[in-house]
Amino acid sequence: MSAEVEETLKRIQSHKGVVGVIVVNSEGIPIKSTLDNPTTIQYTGLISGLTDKARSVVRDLDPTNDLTFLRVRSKKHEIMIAPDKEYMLIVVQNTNE
Amino acid sequence: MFSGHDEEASSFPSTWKTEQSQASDGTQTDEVGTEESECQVIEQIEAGVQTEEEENKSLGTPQYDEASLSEFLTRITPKVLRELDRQARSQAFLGYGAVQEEAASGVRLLHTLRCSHSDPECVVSSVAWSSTGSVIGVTFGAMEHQDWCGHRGAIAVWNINRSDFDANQPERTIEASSCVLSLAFHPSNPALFAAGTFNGEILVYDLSRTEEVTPLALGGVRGRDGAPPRAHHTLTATTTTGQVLVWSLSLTKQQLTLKAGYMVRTQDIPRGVRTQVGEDSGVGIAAASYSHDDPTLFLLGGEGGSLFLCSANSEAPTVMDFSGIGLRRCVTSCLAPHTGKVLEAQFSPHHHHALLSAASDSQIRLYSLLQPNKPVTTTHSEEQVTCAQWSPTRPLVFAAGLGSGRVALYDLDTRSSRQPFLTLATPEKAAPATALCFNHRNMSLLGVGDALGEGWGVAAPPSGCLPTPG
Repeated sequence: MSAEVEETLKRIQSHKGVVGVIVVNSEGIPIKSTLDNPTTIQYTGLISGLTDKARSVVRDLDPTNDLTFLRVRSKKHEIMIAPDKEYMLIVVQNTNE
Repeated sequence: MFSGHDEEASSFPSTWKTEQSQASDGTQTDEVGTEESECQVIEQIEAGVQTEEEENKSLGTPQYDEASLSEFLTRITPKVLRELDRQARSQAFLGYGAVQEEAASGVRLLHTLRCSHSDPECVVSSVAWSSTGSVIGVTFGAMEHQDWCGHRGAIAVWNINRSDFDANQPERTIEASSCVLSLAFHPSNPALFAAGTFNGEILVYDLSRTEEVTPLALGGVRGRDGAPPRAHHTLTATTTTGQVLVWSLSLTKQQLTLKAGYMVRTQDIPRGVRTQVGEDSGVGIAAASYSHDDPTLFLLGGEGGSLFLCSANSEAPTVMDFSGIGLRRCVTSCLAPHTGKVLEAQFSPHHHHALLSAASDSQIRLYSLLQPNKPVTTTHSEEQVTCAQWSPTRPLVFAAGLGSGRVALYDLDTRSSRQPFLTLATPEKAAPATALCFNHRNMSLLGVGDALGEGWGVAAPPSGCLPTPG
């Protein structure tokens, strides 16, 4: 089972331009990460807040709707967030120059 | 009767010499004592501080359900990978440059305008933007004339917004018979501009039609014009013989009609600084500016350093006349004079009491109309000042062209107003900046002309043209 999870994370990590992959549980605690500890904690804390905010925006606009993907484009990175009921997957990717 | 007399000598003891006696005596002072003392303060402080060792908080391995995580990942991974692929192939942000908020890299040299003008003595004598802000006009003329003018002056016009804009090839070049010394665009019609030449001609051109020239002979040696901002058909020229001539321009008849004339004479200069000869001769006018609030009020700067405040309402006549129109006196008061030729004298576009003047004595002064005897502030430049202009957007900012070719921007608001808060770089070859002009429509643009006969356009940073918050 665990090997399967690791295998999946490795597959995403090896994708072109991917810098790091983080899996966060519903309490906002990172459970798997390919980044170092402080970076993981910083990303998790900041992005959890942003995702909660974004989800409440989507739900306030239409209560039957829900957030499925959140992408944050910056000069250096693109952060892709896939929120789910129990877990949240964060993928940090370099932007193609 | 006579008898022998024998007198015996009598003696008496001397009273003035007494026997000297000797006596011995002794005295002794206290013993001379010396004392030495030394003093030295030794102070030592030792302080130690130690922070508590930071515990590396580890969250531990949170418990999670392998099965559900695995299920989540297998569900989400294809979607994520598809998005990652799409992102890698996406061209959505190609060539997209986000707007930079920090102004550090805000100043850029946009264009270096070159005109195939062959007269090497000619420098850029004036730079002006049209009312729409897209056309820049550059005039060429020599700085010094020892005798008559044998130079070939020119006016070159570029439209920087056109698709076929070429910095090395002006859109229109107009050759002139002598040096062109000044240029002013019409305040509302972008195609119309006027130029003054060394010979005393005023040339009015209309770019929208085929070339039309309205040459008009002037008595003066140097024509310098400034179109007033309010009256749209009025053209004002000043000369080195002290005349201020006001024409009205009729576009339909294509002619200039002299409306009024004024004369600045040597006797208008304050008594303390004027020469006694030729009191009726004119004072050479080197700079002129109209007030933005009162169209009858204008400011003149003399070649000798005097600054005159003038009113167009004056009726007092002089003995001089020009083309049949009697020249009137116009000077109402004088400001504290410079000690060099006035290069720029300008009313502030923001405050009707504020005046800026720059002179060849390397001083840039701010005057208040309420206090004409003394400048409010004087900025001494280490280099020679060649030109100056108020910023059209920020009330306390002005730009000054320097002899090294740089352009310094000063802010009178800051405490260090003596130092420029920004210096714009020189193009490759340094030559004195000779003229500069802010673009009044696109206010971050600044046009600068230099002594090599090149014009350059600079995008000034936001701090130079935008109001600072607060």
